[in-house]
Amino acid sequence: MSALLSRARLWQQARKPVEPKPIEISVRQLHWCLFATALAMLPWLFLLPFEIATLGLAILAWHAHQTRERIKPWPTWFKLLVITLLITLIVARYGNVLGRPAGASLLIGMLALKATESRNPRDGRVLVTVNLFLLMAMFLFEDSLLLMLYALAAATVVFVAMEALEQRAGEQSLLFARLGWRQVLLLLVVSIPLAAVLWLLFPRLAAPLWGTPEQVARTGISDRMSPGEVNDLYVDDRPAMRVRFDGATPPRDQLYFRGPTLWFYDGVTWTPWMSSRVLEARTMESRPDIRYSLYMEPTDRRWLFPLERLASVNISAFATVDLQLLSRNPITSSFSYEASAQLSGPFQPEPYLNAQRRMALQLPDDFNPRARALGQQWQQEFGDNRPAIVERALRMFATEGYSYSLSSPPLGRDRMDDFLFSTKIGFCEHYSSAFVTLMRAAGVPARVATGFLGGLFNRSGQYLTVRNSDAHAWAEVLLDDQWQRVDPTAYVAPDRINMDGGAGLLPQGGFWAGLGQRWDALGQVWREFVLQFNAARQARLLERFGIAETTWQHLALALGILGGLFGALATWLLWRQRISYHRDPWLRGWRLLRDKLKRAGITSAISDAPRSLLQAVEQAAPSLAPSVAPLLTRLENGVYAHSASQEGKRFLKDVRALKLRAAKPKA
Amino acid sequence: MSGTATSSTAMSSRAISGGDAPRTPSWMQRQRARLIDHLARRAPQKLPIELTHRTVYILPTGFGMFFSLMVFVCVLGALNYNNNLALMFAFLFAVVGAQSMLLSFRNLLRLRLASIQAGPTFAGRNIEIAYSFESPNELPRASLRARLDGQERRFELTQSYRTVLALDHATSHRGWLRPSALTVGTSWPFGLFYAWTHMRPDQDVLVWPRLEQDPPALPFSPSKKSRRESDSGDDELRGLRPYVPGDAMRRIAWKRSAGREDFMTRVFEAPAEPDLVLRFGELKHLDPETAISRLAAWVELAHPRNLVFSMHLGAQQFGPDAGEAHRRRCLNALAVFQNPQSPRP
Repeated sequence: MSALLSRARLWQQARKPVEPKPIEISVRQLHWCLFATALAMLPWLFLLPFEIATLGLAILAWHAHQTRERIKPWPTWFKLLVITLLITLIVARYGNVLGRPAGASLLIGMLALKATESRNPRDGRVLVTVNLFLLMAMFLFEDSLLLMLYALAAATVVFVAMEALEQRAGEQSLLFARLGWRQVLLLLVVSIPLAAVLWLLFPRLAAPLWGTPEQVARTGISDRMSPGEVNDLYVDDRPAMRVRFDGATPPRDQLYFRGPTLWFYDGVTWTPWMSSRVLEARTMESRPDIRYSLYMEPTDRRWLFPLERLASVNISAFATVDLQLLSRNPITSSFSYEASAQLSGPFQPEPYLNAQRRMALQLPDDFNPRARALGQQWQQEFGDNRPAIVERALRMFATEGYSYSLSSPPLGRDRMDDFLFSTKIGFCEHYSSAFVTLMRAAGVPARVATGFLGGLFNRSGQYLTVRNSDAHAWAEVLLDDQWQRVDPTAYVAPDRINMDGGAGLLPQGGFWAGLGQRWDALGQVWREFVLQFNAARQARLLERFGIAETTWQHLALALGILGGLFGALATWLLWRQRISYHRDPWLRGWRLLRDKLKRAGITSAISDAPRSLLQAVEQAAPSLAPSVAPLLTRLENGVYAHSASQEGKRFLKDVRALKLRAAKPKA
Repeated sequence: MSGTATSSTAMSSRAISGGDAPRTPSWMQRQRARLIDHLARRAPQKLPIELTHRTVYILPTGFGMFFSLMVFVCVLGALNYNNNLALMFAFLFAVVGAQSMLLSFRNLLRLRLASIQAGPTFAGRNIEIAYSFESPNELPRASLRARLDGQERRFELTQSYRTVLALDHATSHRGWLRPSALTVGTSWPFGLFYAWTHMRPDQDVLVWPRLEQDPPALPFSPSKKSRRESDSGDDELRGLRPYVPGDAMRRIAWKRSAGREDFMTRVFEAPAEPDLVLRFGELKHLDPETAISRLAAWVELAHPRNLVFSMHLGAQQFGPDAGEAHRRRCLNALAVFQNPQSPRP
């Protein structure tokens, strides 16, 4: 019976609604946390598809509005609904929840939900810690100077929120709110040098520990080319890379930066040759004409876009048989390397020539019958005289009414036929594709090469800016067992290629253009010295200090010495600095004056009256009395007469200006 | 003799509280107790106590561990993706976190406990101990936490760099009480580190005896000549005596006090009042602690009625007298009378 009763009681207890935990976080603390969280979320509006961060910010805003009265928890079913919505959004967008952008999205959503159930300082601390993580993770998506400055400001707010969480719950200590700000700022400023030393000397990983990130949809050159389809690439004015040459910049028609090589055409799309042979390393033994450093924006792809033709490169990368240069991992953040190029002179003999020749003659059988017929006609006309066939095709582009335009009319099923014989309007993709089709039909081995051409010379920074819109496609034909570059677009729109020598590289004038160039140049300094810092530069830095070969022991030693030094400096700065929380200028002046007198050998307590301090000064160091006395009189009058604040500020200014020579107090 | 009596009381109370065999504490509990003992059982310090680097301990908090885990993940991620900016921020967070340890430490260092004051209270009630803190180097100190006897209070030292913090301490026995160590800690500024100290000021507070619940009526003895101090106008003026704190203002003989160092208080006499003598010797039949409790309860009965009474404790005699000072004298004497636990004055 009693067992039954106790069971019934247990059941009742279980049925009783769970009392929510008491609210221990003050509204002020919560608002700081929500503010910091909002700041950490804001950049993600631009880094991720906007709906996720919008959802997070909306939840935060709603919650901040709610807490004006009191903190109301959300019902469980509503939370579950929001989580379901969030996961649906993420899965719909990315197809998973664990990738880099998907993970970030999930973290943002969960953070916003966590914010709504923050009831005690402990929840607030979880919130701010995740905020710091989000601020750091932003740089995995974008690393601009502006974003860094923003992150620095946001991190300050996060630390202020952390400080606010340490304050007594429910108590609005204005005093320490003010102190908190200044203390946190001082702490950050003092910490920066030590963090910089750590950053400079901390050993970098040679290879990533875990999988490299998956691709993010980024505008850029890809290994696919479909002439006749819309490509946003050519209207995107964002910089793709910057190149600094040792010496003069080569003429524009030599500035071919080599990207993917496309071999296979299915009538719609050109794709690369998926053969392991292509990826075999290729020895480079040539005489470089020019050296340069190249700074790439992240592409999430592996092409390194060296200047044609590559002679040497200072990083470990794959150079393929078909002249591509690939990094070992996708380039997910800004990246740089140094290389040299051979602009002229004989090329090396080609490896795997038979295989290459066979592949370079491929054409889809059931597409473009007219183009293929024209090619066969040329083959019969010129026989084995391949240069003549090339010349014939180029003459056709130059003379038979072809024009250059980025907005070309749509093409039908046989795209090359439509382009060559009816629309006759197109850009580099059309011309290179049509040219290679004609060549292959005429029995001349040919392939499409893509990359960048030219760029904009930045005079303030003395480097070349290559934008996405400088993307280009050209052709290569196999003549005398050597691949030779042929750019059919040049015969249609010579401006695109030549632009009158170097002048084409220079931007149009104007104030705003100049300002834009300067900002870009500043960004380049940032990229060269901060973003591109790596193990090689670290070694070079240590070389200057006489360490020829950098091992991790060297780094550890340097880190120990310099870290200790800067750590001691930071500690000393932090230790001696006392943040004064007085807002009243009279009190601040009083404090300062007493500090100055203390340095001059006259100590006093805060509770001393100005008059007794004056007596002490007159006794111990009469020489100081004349300069101190008027100030103390003013202080006495000012404090007890409740004078205007202007006078207090003047007093503080005068105390600041006061110079006391250290007087030896009388023994 | 009385010592044995006390111990027998203790024995009997133990017998009542638990009949089963004493539980042996587990190894963990013992180690924990040892550590706490070791940290807290430093020699008592003379007031004022100023904290030095030897007396301030500091350890990371749970949140500090969580934070460092986050920073570690940040560094690892930044290194893995070879992302310089992320790495720089991860190091910045690490350095800021580490430097906050210094601020936590400094927040306690040179904190001074200037004095302690405690109003006496009866055993079994909480005694309020007022701790006066100062910041001698005029450093503002935020968000300090003081813990005494299981209760925690927050305080800060700002405007005048001094504050008085009143904390309650439980009492169980009469006599001189050595308050348990006061723990002062702080996790300001970020809650990543907790710095703390134990303060054991070399000062005892006095606890009066436990008051007997529902004591018998006051033991007036009608045979003797009785008198009662009174301030009513009808009474006959008996004479003057030196002023003691607690005497009513209107009883001060202002004219007679003029020209003297101290004040004189008029003592009135009301006739035909029974004598009130509280004797410890007459309560021999009770156990000594109960007797002392009863005497204390009688004092507390007599005092509000302003009765003149005297108290005999062994060889000591107090009064006959009345008033606050007399009450305190009696209760103080009762607190330490035959008390083997607190032989201190």
